[in-house]
Amino acid sequence: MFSHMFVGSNDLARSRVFYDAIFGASGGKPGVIDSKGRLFYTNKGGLFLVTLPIDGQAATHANGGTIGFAMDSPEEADAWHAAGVAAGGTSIEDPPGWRNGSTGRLYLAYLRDPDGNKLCGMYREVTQGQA
Amino acid sequence: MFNHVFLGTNDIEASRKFYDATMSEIGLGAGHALPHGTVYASDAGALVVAKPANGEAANFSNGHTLGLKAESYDAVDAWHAAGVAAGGTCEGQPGFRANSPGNMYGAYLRDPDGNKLCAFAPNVGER
Repeated sequence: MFSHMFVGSNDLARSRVFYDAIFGASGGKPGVIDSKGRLFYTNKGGLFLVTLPIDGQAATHANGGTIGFAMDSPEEADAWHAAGVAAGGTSIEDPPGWRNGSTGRLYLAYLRDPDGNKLCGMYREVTQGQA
Repeated sequence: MFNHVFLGTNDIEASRKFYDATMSEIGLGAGHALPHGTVYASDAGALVVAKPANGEAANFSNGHTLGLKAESYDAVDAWHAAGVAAGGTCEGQPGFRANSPGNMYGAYLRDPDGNKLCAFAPNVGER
């Protein structure tokens, strides 16, 4: 469904510290700056990019926008969250923990990146009968 | 990598019309209505377009783009045309994108709330 995601940044060096930390905590590698000055991350089959806005205006975060990252375990979600807080992010919503969703239990952790973009780390509990 | 994406809307009906039209063209079908928005689910993730949970107006991010997968050049064209016809705004005509990995074929739209989207298909040769 998703080919890639861009988020806006006002300070790529600051973003790099933050995203290197959270991707590192969830099995990813440090980011790479491409020839266009965009910060690239590949992890778990997806592509995530951080960029200064191409219109030259300041990057702003959405109200209503959240990017949900797949976590392989509750422990990974905790590590992802802790790494983000330690690297310039902000813990938001309830602390990392289990939530009862309409389709089963979810382990959720929420962060804002240094530019205010809202991120979610989600582990979906595998119940009997599911692959 | 991605489990889900939320995008904000201030007009559930307008956003549902737009996303039903565009998502159908890239094989994701019409959405499932929620009280506060619409969800488009697949085995590879879910897109939720909904009113913000904090009760404040939705606004879009400058710098954010959500990239969607399309199977073919024709699907990109159809996705873009459907979006423009269903209340979206062209943010880039369908064509090959030299800045993308492998010179992929893509197109850009803004949804009725201003959220920036693109759909990209793999490069399989000339159009």
